[in-house]
Amino acid sequence: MLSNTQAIYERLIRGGFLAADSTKADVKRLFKDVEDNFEEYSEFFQQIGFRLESGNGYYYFSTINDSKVDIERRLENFCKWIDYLDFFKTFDSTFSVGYQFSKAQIENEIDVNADLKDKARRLFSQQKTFPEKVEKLIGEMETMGFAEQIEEETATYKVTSAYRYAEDLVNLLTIHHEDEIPE
Amino acid sequence: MLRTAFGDRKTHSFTTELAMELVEYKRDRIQYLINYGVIHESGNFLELEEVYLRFFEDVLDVNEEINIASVKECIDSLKENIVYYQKETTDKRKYHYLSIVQRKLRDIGVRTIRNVIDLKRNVDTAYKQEPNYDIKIQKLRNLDEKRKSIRALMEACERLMEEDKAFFSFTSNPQMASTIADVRNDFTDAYYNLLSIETQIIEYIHLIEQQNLLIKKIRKLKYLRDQLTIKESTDIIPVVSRMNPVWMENRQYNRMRVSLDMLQSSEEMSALMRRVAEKEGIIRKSRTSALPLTEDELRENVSPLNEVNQQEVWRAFRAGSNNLFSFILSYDYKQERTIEQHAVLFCQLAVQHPNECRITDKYATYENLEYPLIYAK
Repeated sequence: MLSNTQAIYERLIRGGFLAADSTKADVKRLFKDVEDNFEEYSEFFQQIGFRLESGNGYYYFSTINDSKVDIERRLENFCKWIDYLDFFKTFDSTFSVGYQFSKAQIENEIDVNADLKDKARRLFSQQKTFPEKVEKLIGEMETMGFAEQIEEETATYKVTSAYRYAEDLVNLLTIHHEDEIPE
Repeated sequence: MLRTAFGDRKTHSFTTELAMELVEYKRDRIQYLINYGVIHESGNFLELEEVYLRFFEDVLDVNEEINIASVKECIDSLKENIVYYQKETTDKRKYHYLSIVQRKLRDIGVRTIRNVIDLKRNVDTAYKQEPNYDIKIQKLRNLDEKRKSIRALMEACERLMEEDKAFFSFTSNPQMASTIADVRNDFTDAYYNLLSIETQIIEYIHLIEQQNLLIKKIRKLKYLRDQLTIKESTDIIPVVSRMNPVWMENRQYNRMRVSLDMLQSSEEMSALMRRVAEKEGIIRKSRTSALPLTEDELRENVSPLNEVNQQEVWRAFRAGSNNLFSFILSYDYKQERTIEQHAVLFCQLAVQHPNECRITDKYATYENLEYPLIYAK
């Protein structure tokens, strides 16, 4: 019995992810339901043109028909995440699934870490100040379901298991002559 | 005060000032503890003496260091006391050594279990809290060495229990036999735990190495991106060509048209629409409902039009046999009509239905108007 098709569809159609370790009860419930009825849901969504993709601790949608998004656009979207991953790993090399961070921590680190400041400056040209840029970056993470706010007062967030997808993206690529590139 | 001093043992932040506050500014109390070697003063800080520190840690089971040396000492001491026991001839002294051996054995069991627990906690702490990857991996490798040492000591002790002849004689003593069984049980538990710790360490090291590789790869990709050579230096184009996840599409949530029936179904919906319209600033553009009708407008105010339904008159004419003009004159109109109107209607009907009329050559006169006699065919 597929009882959450609408809720799952509404979340995934916007490009969001369902994370196994979400702190939100509704997301957790949806993840569990998809996990228990993966075959049935896959079949259902397939009929309306979506492939329910599963990863290590996350689910998301991809389109079955050829995507209408052109290569340049896809490239841009992909590279955007290389920037974000690089930013977070510069902020803290242990930044990964389960990591907890606050907006203030990132802002403070930008203040004292010149490398991070430089990277922050290059992110989101529309946003002028660092707090705005950080806000936007966290917003991107939240939209995808890669991070969730766990404490409103201190603006503290937790990185969900869906973030593994972003890390997996990096592993999809092969760098030609990798040894010649500086780390 | 001692509790605070113990709590601050790792940060070395227990100041004399704070201590003074805790003893209500009675310096002699602190001095008393210093004199008896419970605490010592180091600059502006106070610290618990090592011996008390260890005592509290042991009693409270909170020591973080895995003390393999103490277990080793225990085993050595055990061996020594076994030798004394074997060589002793008097029963009383023999019993004394036997009780020492028994105590040492129990101690080895307890310390081993505690070491295993500490090891497990340390492994988790090293993995989860150490921010530096290099130190983290080094710590885990060191802890793995400790794991091996704990295992080696357990094996040494087991060998002793199995191979030393003295142990055969111990088994005849029920208390001793029970202690040996307890130690063996402790060791079995410890073995299982060590196995899971080993797996955990391997997994953690593997994860760290993966993360290290990931960081390196991210940095390289970022470098290539900044150099604008990512397309040429990686297989990113074929990779993204194969991908079509929804998140890349920047797809807006599908707009659904709301059912008109639903929108018109209730007051609630109409209020909702008004609110949306107001929010979007389109209230003026939208067709607004008319003002209610006034009393005056509702009053019956009929002014009949002096019009004739020509079709109706023609149909009635065709049904009869009278000539057209006479028929028009005698027709039952709702209002009185003039002779001119009759003439106009006569002409209109005749012209509109030429094929259905039979126009005769005969004429008749009404008042001063001469008209042809026309009949329906």
